[in-house]
Amino acid sequence: MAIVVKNLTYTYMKGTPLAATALHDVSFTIEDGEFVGIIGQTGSGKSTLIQHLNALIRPELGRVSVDGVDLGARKVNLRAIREKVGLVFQFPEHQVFEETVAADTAFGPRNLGLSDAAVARRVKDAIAAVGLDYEAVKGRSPYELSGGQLRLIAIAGVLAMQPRVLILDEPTAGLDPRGRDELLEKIRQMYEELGITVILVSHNMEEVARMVKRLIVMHRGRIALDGPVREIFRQAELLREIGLATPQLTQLARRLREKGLKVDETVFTVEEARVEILAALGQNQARRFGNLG
Amino acid sequence: MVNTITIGQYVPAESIIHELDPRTKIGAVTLLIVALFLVNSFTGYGLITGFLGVAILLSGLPVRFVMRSIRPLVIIIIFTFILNIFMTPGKTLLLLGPLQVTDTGLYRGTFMSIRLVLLILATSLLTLTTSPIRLTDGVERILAPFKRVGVPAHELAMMMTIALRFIPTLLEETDRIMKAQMARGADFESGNLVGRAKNLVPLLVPLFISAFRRADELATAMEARCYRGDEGRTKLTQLVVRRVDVVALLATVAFLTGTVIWFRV
Amino acid sequence: MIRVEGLTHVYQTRQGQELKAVDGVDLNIAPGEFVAIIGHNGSGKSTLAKHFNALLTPTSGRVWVAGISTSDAGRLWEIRQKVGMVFQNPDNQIVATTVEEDAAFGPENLGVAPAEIRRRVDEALQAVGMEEYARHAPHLLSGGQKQRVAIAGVLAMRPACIVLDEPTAMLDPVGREEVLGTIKRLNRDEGITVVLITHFMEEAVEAGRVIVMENGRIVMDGKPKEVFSQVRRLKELHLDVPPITELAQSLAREGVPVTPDTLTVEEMVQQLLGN
Repeated sequence: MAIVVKNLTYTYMKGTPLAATALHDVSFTIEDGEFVGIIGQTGSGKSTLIQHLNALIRPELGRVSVDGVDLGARKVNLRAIREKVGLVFQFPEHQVFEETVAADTAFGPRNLGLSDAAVARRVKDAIAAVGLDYEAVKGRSPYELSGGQLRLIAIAGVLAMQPRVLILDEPTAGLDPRGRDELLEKIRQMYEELGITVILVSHNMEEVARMVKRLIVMHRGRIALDGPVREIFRQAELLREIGLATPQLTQLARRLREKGLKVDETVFTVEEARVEILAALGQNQARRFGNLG
Repeated sequence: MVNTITIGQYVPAESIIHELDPRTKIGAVTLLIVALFLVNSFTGYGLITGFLGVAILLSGLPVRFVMRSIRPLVIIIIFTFILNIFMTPGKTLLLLGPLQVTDTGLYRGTFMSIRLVLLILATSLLTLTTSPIRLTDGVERILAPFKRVGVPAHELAMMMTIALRFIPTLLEETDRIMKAQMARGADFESGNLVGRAKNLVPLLVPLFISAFRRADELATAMEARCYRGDEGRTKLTQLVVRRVDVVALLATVAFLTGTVIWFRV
Repeated sequence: MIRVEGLTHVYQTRQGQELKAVDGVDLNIAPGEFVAIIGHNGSGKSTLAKHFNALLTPTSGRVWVAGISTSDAGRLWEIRQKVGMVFQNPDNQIVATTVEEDAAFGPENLGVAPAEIRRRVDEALQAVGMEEYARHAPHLLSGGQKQRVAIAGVLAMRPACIVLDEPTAMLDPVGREEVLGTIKRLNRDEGITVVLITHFMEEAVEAGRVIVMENGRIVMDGKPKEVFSQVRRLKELHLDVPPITELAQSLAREGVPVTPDTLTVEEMVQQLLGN
């Protein structure tokens, strides 16, 4: 189920004076079961990139393949690709259109030509997977739900396709802190319980860092950095140049290190920071006592 | 998809035509349209074409660029042509099964097509050389005297402004929703006519819901900024009639009146 | 500037039930203050804010803006001129097809003379750093730029106070920075009273005063340090806590000498290492 992107270049409005290169020689591989964050500013090319991964945009120059299927091939089965790679757009609640929650969630699987029984089963599973009570919500109008719940239903609409890869574009945009934390927790559960590959696209470093193991940093249509979260955080200078702030505690650790306190500069949770700082202070103290003795 | 819709999009430039008062231009185009319906000889149309040609040259826009505005309506022009050729009684020139091409049919078909082309060119020249703001200002001012008899001049102009403001936003939104539904396996491209129309439901429903939400929010925002119709309202841009406007309008009136009187059989 | 006494606002839901969105709120906002209101969705903060420029009027209680009661229907436009409002969705509050025409919309409605409108529009666009975009079409701007245009539209009405209802919720970090910077500058340099409703703790930290709402009531009200040092209380309310403050408190428990209301990285470095 690996996704392979090789030398992908994409230009919008090619051949017009408005032509703009959105992707420039992008290459990477995402293995089955990975949890990857793609981060970058608006206009860095991340939206264009993820639309290539389920063939909403066909590769112009370079290659994209999913599970060995070349998405640039003329006779590629688009539905099969979109079944494998589920894409949840930003503000997905704007795509909900049916009268009931169950009917809307069924839209995807129905498009796959499944039997009624199979569709019903998938709808039930998908709504359960986003943590909502199927019996309670199935007959309700989507517009009676709260904003957070409506977004979950929209995500269930993609999950009902039973994709092997789930891509979420800014899933928490516009939610309040509680809605955001709940949604992130649910995404983590989906990743763990469904055994799928998850790609989380965001411009919020703090949020992504807590979720994923690997980060791909996009800048001006290119991959600026790609690696484990902590390795990325070591590049604080570069990240600042790109306009992406590192988490507050990572900034603190860096400042402390500059001032001579031996802490790991890649910490980003309160617990890690506490342990690191206590240990470093302890050493300092010991050294001081040592000197006295 | 967004950039395919360029019918009559304003092209900023500095030319006599651009700088005319929008009311002058709207007036001139209206007169021209009236003349097109009154004149019924090819020579008369030839003169009007010449007049329009001069205006296009004065606007400084590339002639081919202006001609391009005909493209989206080519089908309608062809349709008109064919309909007239076959449907007008007269001396038969050619028989195609049950259909017959007549001499008057051929004449009328050609005539109607030219009329349509001139209509499109005249209105396109207006929108290509007038910014939306000046256009709506012009409409509002022209209609203002009719307010007393119940013509909602200001409201019409405000509606035009808001429509122009939100067309690009809604086009973008259409694109986004379409992609989101395609990601759920929707197909907007294949199937017969009925099937295709049915496939549009997942696109149109969210689009309408969003448009209503936008309208609601916009109304609140306008209210918060003290909007209460045109009562006591002033304008940032003022329209001023200059000598060139008077000259242009008089020239148009003189030329078209002459043409109409001369070539109306 | 704004005085609220015993304000209650009841909505009628579609099922015909009554919903108390704001429940007995007393509040006083002085001229020149920068107040942030936080609280999660449904806490009543938006409903409260809509009372500040008479988009809503109290079910019971009173709201005064610069000494005028918002229930005084005859002085509605005066109130709305004094208190401008910026909303969440940048697209749905821009009316005109160019930036400068949009900035002119408010003063046009107030019947300001054309030459004066021109002056105000130029000033307002300059104040938000959008003067270069005066002739641009709004749909080609970024989210942050659109919100700055919306702020300019309010500024051109020469308000004494600006209320912003989650103006950054739909923006990326760069856009958020732009908007927050603009608000801070207007408050500091022009002395405009600012009421900022937000989900983002990082933005509330920048205000002079933070109000926390829950179930239609004000549950906390104080300086950022006073409010954000109450880590446990904020967590109960499901609100974000600055990680630095949380760290400071857990270090303090271990006997490290840091104050529990530490808010910024630099304060923390100072306390841990001195100079």
